[in-house]
Amino acid sequence: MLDQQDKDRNSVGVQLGTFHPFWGSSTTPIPKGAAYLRRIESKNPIDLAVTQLKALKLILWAAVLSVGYSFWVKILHGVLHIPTLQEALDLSIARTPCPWCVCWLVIITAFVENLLALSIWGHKCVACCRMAGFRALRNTYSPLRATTIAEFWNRYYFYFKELLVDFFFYPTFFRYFKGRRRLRIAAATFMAAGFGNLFFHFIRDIGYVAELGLRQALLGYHVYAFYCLALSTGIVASQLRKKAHREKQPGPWRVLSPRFGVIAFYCLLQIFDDTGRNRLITAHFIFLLHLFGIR
Amino acid sequence: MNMEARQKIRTFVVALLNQKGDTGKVGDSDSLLLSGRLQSIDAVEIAVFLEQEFRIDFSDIGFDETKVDSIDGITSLVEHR
Repeated sequence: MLDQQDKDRNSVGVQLGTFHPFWGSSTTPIPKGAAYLRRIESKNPIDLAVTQLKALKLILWAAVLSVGYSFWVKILHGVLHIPTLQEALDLSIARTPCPWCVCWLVIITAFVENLLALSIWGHKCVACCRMAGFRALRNTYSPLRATTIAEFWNRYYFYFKELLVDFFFYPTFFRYFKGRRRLRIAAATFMAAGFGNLFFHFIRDIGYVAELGLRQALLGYHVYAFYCLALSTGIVASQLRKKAHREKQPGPWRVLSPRFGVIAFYCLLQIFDDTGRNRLITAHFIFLLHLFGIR
Repeated sequence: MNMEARQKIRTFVVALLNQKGDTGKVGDSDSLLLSGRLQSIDAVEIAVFLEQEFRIDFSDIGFDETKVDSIDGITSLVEHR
């Protein structure tokens, strides 16, 4: 859609092709649309060779991660019988929750699995795209290095973030609250990570409207609405805090502590990352409280 | 004026890169965003700098990341505002 604004735009056929490129994609276009592809296309044989070598390196890394992921799943779920997050939530709803220490293991396991799965999928898409000669950036890039909540989101799912930035962040940022810098950033971030995220997933899962009816599809979406609100609040706070403390460069001893905080935030937040319509938010809060020995 | 504007832009971009721990050289035509050296939130920083320093109103002309992808691009945007 954004490519329609480009004065050197491709034909509609080529633009439509970028919705489902051969290197794989989802409802989130990887890596963006036709105009972006024109800009990142290799310009000469040396550029192409470098891009294709980077593709090989990335596909090898994806293969290594795939093997690690298979072992991880087999050992943790097959041998140690640690439930998945969804199973643990269902056990909690059935009033037969796992011990709190197992619940911590469940959310840490789910966090790592989610990271690995997204990395492998993104790396495969980007590697094939690079092999075709496009200098695409990685979809997931060292997320555990992130020292702020905002940075993690950028490193975790780059192209989804870009989609929300292009369609929600920029339009809000450049139109509203111009004289009030902090409010401007907060409003634009809430529109992107909050409303945009919510809207995107509602449209993606529009089948629920046919299945449950519009009212129930909307009401059942409250868990993910809370997730979006918490995520955008976290990102806003991290952006504003970063600006306030920009002058203070952290020493080496302060490197690990923000990373741990970011991981803990996303580990706990994923409890509410539920786009299904079959659980009440109370079930998610009960599980969260159980992690801290409450209930 | 052009040299002065370019120098101001260069100083700002270099400072932005340094804040991110990127102390590498940056040429006037080097890509900043498409290369991944800067992110969308940094593009916003550049836009705010241009609004404040050169009175560019992006709500009028629309914000296009590709136009602020290099020091040359930003300078050209300032010259043709």
